[in-house]
Amino acid sequence: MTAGDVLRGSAEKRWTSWSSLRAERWLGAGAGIVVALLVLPPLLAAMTASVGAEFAPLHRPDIVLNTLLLGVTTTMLAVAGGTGLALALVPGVPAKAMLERLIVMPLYLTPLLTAIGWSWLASPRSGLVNLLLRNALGPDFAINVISASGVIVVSTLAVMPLPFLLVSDALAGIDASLVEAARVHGAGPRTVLRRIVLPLLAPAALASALLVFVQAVGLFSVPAVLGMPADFNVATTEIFRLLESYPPRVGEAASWGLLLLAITALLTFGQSLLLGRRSFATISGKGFRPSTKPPRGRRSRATLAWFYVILATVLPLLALLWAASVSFVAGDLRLTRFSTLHFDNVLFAYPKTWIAARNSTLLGVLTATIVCLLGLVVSWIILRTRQAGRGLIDQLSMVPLSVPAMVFALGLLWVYVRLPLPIYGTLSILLIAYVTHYLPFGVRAASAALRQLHPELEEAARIAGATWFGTMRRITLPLLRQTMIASWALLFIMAMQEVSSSILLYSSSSIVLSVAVFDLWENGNPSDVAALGFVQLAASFVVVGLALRARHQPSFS
Amino acid sequence: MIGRIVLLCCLLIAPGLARGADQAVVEAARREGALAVASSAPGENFQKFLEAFRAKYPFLDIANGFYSGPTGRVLARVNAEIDAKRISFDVMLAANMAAFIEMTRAGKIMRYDSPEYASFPAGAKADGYWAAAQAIGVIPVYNRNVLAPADAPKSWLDLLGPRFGDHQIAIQNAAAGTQFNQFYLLERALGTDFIKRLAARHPVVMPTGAQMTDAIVRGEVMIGASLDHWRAFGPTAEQAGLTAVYPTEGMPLTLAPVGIIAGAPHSNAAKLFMDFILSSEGQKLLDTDLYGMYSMRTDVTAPAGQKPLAETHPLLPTDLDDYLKASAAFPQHFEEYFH
Repeated sequence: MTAGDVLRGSAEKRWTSWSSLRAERWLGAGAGIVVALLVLPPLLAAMTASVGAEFAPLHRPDIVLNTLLLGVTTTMLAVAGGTGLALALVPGVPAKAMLERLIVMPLYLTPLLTAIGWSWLASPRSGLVNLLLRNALGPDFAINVISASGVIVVSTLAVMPLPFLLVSDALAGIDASLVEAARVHGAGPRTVLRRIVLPLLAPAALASALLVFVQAVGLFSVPAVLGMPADFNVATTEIFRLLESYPPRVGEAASWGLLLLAITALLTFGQSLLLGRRSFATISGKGFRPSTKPPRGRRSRATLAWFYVILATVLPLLALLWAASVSFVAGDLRLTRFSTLHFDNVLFAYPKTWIAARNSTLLGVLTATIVCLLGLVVSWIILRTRQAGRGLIDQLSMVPLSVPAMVFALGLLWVYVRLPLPIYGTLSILLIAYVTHYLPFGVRAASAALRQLHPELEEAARIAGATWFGTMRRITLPLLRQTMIASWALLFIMAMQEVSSSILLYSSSSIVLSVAVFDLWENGNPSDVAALGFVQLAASFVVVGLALRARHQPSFS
Repeated sequence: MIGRIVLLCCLLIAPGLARGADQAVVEAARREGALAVASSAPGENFQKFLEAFRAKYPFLDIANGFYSGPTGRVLARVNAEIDAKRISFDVMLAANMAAFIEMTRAGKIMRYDSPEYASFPAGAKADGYWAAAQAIGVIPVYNRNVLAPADAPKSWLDLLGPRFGDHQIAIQNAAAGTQFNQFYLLERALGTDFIKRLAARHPVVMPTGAQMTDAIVRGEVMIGASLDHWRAFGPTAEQAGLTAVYPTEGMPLTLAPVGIIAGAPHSNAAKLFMDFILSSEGQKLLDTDLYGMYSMRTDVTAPAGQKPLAETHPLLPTDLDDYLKASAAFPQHFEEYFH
């Protein structure tokens, strides 16, 4: 090698590094602008509505307390349960693969369907479980899900797959050499769990705790179906009441939105304080994976998982199937008449089913793809660059989750009805709304994955002369592939269920399944809701099944 | 004599003029080519009604502009368009008369003198602007498999009897337009004391009418005190044992007006729609055949199995200003009484 070659090589590296820096800056600026354009206008529109209005939460401390009770208890139970399930399902547990799939089933069922299912199962007088157990346990036996505790338990069951998924992925990413090293130094299983595994799971658990909290306080259908009849009102049911009244009390509804936004902002700040200065990277260039021993208590681990599956999926699904297969759900089982009427209704007579299924699938695929890519870019900028204002982008990207969906949806309506583009009333406007709405999930999922990926891998590629895009294509994306496909599937399912923006922005040609289900819940027959719920479930299964098959195919790297 | 001849000529010529005007509207609507409707009537049946309208005017595209939702959301969407001056809807049907009165006063409803207004009684229209396309009674409904008909209430005051204790009566939440209308009319008929005593029974507050129906069918509540009357009729309701009570003091009637939105992009198609939906043929199809609701036209009979409207002693608001004032204050009052 001559001196000229060395100089040329050095100049090329300088050029590569300079062009990479330029790409980063452009990317950072572009992502910041896109996030700001998506989030700020509807946020400002919704929040300006609260200017001059009474700060409604001041007058309803009972509802503030109920909301916090729901948020805190659901988060604690769901994160503990989800982490417990993830830790229980280690290799060697019987039917592990099947259980992993069944545990995430509640994500496919919308919370509305889970809540309706449980109202048929455990209403005090006519719940199927109560009717069946009363024979054995006496006439006074009653499980009452129409109560505050019913709302908390069913909400927990509905959201638990989220921490399970995030913690499972983090668990799969832990370098087994760390565990082996602890064992070699004499640490017992409990010490390994306490000192090695749980601290490494902290980012995923905390990320999921934040997501679960905002999801729990933003849930509408579970408190509406199970809480309102028991006079257990929370922020979302109050917002529903304020917005649906005439004249709509938008300002007061927006003030509830402000309160939840402030709480979430505080929690996000707390989370970044907890995670900010510590390293959780476990996928490095020096990893190795020794074989693992069969776990202890395999059967009890599986039993725990089956218990959750039965409560969260099997029982509500059976209740929905029961309701969809009888003329009407009666409190007296002797009056039950089996009928295909409801399936006939939704499959052949209900005019919205097929167009809604097509629109939902299309929107789900596009939303999941766009949000995954945008989420990855945003989280990469936040975690891997020193771009000015990246903290602001981080906060902005969380906003759609922090504001109750119904209030944010009004902001979206007010902004997009004014937008001088021919998209109002079309699928495009729903796509923009969905991308905005689910951006936080894309960013959080990608952030949790990136935190586990040591920057040294990317730095090594850059030192070897790879461009930014080359590094992303050949190093980052292949390593994140599994997580990204899992996030894609999750986002697809969530997009299939989005209802708050859709009910305000759809038209007859852009109707989606979630709106059709909600429409039937508000106006129609609950048994038709159950039957249409199965159509929604089937559409989700097909697409997610295809995506997960891609996950298990060999990596493209 | 000359006067009589002129009058006779006018009578002979007038129908021809009207037909000519209709034809001009039809031609203008043909050029517009579409119609967009926002409706609070449950969407499934309304779609069928729109198809019947399109069978008469096949040149109109009705597939893309239809929006259905509860009254609050219909009003939110239409008002957002009006505020943004980007109106896409032509016609609005919403089960909230207070909203229609206010929108008419604010110039948001277009003036249109449909010849069909003449067939509607005075309390069910604002001549030149809107008329009630649907009339929904709000009554107590019980399940005869749970409550013996002999024990069922016969009047509103019977609901306050000892038989119906805590959590055995269901009402709708304050957001429902029908709930406001019912309590407003009952308060005027029976006094505020009735509402207070009903609240003292701690009724179960349901988020939707469909959920209340489900709870009555399953026997979770003994009686639904604020159910839309049409939910108690039809083959499934009959099988399930739902039974309507027409209270002796009268049946609060919620009117769902229909009108053309000022600035509607297809105002001629909208006029054709108004004439159709308010016609005897349209009312029979919409109310009697599709929804099982009442029509305010006297030449349209009640749906099969339902008491004729005149025999229900329908209660309607008489002082519209008082009605508007009460509508604005209702959510607050509801909170005070029922929470």
